Amino acid sequence: MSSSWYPVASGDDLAPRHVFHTALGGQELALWRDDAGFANVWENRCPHRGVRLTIGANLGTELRCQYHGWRFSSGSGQCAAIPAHPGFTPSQGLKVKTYPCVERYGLVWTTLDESPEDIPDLGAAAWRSLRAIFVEAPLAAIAPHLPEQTGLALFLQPVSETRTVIHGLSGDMSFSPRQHDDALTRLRDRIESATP
Amino acid sequence: MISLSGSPLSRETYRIRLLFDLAGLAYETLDGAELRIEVEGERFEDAWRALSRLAPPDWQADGRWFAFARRLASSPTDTALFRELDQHLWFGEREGSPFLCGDHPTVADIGCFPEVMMSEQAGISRMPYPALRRWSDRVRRLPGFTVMPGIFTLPA
Amino acid sequence: MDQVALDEWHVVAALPSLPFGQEVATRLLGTDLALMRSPGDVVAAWPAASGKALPVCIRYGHVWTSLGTPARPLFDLPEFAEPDRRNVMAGSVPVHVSAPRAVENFLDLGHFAYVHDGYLGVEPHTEIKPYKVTSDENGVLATECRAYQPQASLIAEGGFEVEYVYRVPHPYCAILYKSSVLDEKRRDVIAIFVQPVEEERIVAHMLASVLDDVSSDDAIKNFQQLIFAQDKPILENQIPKRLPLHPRAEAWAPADAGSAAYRRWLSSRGVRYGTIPA
Repeated sequence: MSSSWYPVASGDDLAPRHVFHTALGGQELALWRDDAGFANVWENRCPHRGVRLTIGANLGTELRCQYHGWRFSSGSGQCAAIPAHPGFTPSQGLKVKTYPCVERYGLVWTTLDESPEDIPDLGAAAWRSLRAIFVEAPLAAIAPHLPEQTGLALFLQPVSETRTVIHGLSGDMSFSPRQHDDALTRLRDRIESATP
Repeated sequence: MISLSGSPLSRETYRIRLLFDLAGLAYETLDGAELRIEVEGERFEDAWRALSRLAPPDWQADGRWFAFARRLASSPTDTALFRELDQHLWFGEREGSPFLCGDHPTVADIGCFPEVMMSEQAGISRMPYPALRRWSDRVRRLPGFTVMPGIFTLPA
Repeated sequence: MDQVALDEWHVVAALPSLPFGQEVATRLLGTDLALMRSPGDVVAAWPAASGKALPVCIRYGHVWTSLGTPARPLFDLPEFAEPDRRNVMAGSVPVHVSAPRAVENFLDLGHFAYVHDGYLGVEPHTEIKPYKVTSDENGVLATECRAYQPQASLIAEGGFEVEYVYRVPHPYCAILYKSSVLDEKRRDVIAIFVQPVEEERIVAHMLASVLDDVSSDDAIKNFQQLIFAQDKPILENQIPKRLPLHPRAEAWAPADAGSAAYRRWLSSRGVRYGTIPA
């Protein structure tokens, strides 16, 4: 995996009071937007007993783990409350691992790297995000087949070694999202039938 | 009077119970592991027929998505069905249809819900179906929503 | 291969689930086994690959065997033999997680209001007060554990504070004792005997040994199965699936005193199977 920012969701995917589930390079991620609009990209794992945060609840300013109800604050990922010990202030070191998050072109970008390369520059035009297409194939099997089309920007998110997401942005309003969706879905089907 | 018996661990039983709880239909729960749905002493042999017949008018679904729910229940590990559902819901979100058949939930949503929510126990992660995951939040937030073991409630 | 785990007795079946005269396949510590039950409650067990008879004991309604040489007999559970007990084999459930994670979940006190909401716990009664933990080479004991429960058992009426004792007499078995509603001087026993199929796969066998003159066996079994079915998705969503034994691998709260002792005990016994050693 190159040292990059990758798109991992569209901004709309982070619906109110929802926890979005994805992964990047095998690292599972839990994404959620707080009530003020801030987008969090966190490791999908409660530091207590390792339960996936994506089966937990977005409370608006905190993410709550489903196992013991521990709550973690938006932004810092710090543990704010442990229901088994009401009134006990968890130590500052008790937190969920967080990743940097940038929203640009209607997509949510993150990186696993300390010093990633910049997010690609698509200029000042308005972009509309298409439905993300999950492909059961490695990134290298998809990259050579991406269509080149003006008004269409495509980015690949390596979920794992065997799964990739195609994030599409359309700048050309003459194509409907469904037209793009049909084309990308057909591409997915072709790649998957060629993949062992 | 409606009576229902069946295992609390059964998706079939849950499907019917969820309709009753969401639609606010009064019913009594009887002991017994086998799914039994009786209305005024008359037994429904087919759970899907019961769903269709007992759903109040505003919970009725269009044929296509009700049939889809039946297909999903009989092939709960068919990922092509999950993909179809996810794609339909993604476009629905943008076209004012947060539920399968439009702007309000129907028996098609109830029909699909148990298999979707128990998919991980059958080895199917819902990570590749983000619109489906958002839909499941919407179902879980409906007034009257109840769970079966394996499903968690969402705070209001 | 973890010799400590190999030399233990391990549960492989609930006795009533085995038909007479029919070979039943199972798997233990990554080894395929065959079981055969004969009249007189005799059960034979052998590895599918070699056919060489394994030692077998039938205890507490379950079949136990060993792939090694147990140094001592299986732990005692005297309540099982009391004549007025209801002993119910409450199910054998496969779960995609390690045995130690399942044991630790059984010992856990802080999850009742979130995983067993309305049954074993409810917000805002989430506080877990300090309790006592001791351990020796035979296992771990946690006493004076208290939790508020809205419906603590099938025959309890309403909610009240329940006091629990937890005992771990075996790396992959845990036993819970709580005051009987019928006789406060005696205790109901719920046990989980975990069969380590592979490092990250188990079958959890449940036993309820209770004082209850009202409920049917099915009702007792169904309640335990319902509770366990609520735990199952939590267990299957834990990362990593093996239990990390290093004291700083995962975070701690005071309510976790029992599980801290369990992890230390596993390390001191040298148990590795299903764990990430410290």
